[in-house]
Amino acid sequence: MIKPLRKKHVQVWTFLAILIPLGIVSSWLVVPKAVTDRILHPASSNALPILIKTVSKDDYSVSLRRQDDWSAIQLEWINYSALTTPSAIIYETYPEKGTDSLEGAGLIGRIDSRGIYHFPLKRDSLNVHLHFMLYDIIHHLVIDRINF
Amino acid sequence: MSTSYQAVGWNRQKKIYDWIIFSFCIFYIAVFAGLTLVFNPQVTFETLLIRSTSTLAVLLLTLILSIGPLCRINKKFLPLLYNRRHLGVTMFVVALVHGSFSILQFHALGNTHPLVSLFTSNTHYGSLVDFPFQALGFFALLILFLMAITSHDFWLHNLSPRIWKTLHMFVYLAYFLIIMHVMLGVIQYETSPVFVLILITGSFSIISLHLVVGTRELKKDRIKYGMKQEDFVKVCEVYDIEENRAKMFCLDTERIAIFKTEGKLFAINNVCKHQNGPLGEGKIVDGCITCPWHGYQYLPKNGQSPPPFKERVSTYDIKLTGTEVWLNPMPYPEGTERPGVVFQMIS
Repeated sequence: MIKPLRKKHVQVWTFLAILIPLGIVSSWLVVPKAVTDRILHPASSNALPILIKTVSKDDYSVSLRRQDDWSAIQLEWINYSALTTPSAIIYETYPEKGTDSLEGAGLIGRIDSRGIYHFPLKRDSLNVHLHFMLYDIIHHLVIDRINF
Repeated sequence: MSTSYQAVGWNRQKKIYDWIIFSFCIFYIAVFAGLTLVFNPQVTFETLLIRSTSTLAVLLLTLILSIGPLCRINKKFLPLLYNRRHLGVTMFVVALVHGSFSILQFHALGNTHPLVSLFTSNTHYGSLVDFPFQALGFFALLILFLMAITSHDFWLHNLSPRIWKTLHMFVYLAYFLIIMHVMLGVIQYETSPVFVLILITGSFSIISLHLVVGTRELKKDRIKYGMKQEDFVKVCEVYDIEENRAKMFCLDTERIAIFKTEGKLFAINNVCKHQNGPLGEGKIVDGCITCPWHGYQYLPKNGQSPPPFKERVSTYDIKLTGTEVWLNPMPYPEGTERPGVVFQMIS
């Protein structure tokens, strides 16, 4: 190796001694953090104390719960196993008003993995019957209807 | 350059070396595949091949880049240097398998040309976290390709050692691109820190080796020799030089090697005509100074390669005052015969 090349090598490696650690550290800093298994709906609130009614199915049970003073009503959905459909949404339907399909239905929330889901219902009292529809929004299919 | 051209001149030593490289590569891939199948039985053949060849290529490149400085620390590594080109071409082939299968797996199934897809499927060139790391690997592979196809004396001779060496110094850029290819690629998805630790250890070792050895060599070039007598400079004692070996001295622009053999001292230019290898780090084999890099040979008395070879280096005058060795840094024309200096060892 000739003298100028020896000098050039040291210069190149001095440069790399700065560049490589800089590259490694900056790349390491942007490594995405481990993804936790989070459900895409808002965190479930705690179950309200009084159970009003329950409808049981093979894979899940659905209940209505309320506060002592009826100040809040809640839909409780207990999924025993993950649903086979990837995108199941609960809607509230109003057959007494002639709305028994998706059109005009009220969005309640999404159900996917195994677990307990709580959804607040906008109602002051249980004067009317409640109707819910579990709907697959990708395949446009009604999966189930739950009537209280 | 040989008078009789041969595409590749394999001798027994090179064949043994190549078999060792080949066996190691097969062994590595087999062990990698075995362990992967134990811990991740669902892995596909393509993924297995892509991962095993990628890690093997990085390992080989780390070894290749370490050989130069290791040889300066310990001469036992010289056989690795002698056949470094074979290791380099092997590494390129392994990297090519990795690159080809990666392009097939990730870019060949759409209706866009795979190479177009490579550069256009991800265009977040301004983002570090989403940077299209595959492009970095592609450019590194391109550099390795240019190096592999010119890894022959035919190209060295036709391109000239200066251009050839400049081209091959792009390996350092390729190394940086590969580090970033790994860091912005697999490391972004790999949850285990083992890979990044291995990569850091490898690059830290290479950088340290090159800086330590390189700085040491620069210091040798800067040594000042104070004692002068007419045109001669006192450089060492005759006992400082081992039999059939040399000591090197940088008095002017380039190093001069003083060899001791069969009761005589000879001085020649340290730079081999083949690839600028350090002749003074070689030894005398069969009466010829033999370059440690690729075995090019020169006669000590005149700096000429033995016939039919035609390489020549400059020679220099030496004189002895007692046991002191004095060197005249004024070169004679390349290939000029000098009588050498006779010395007598006092036991």
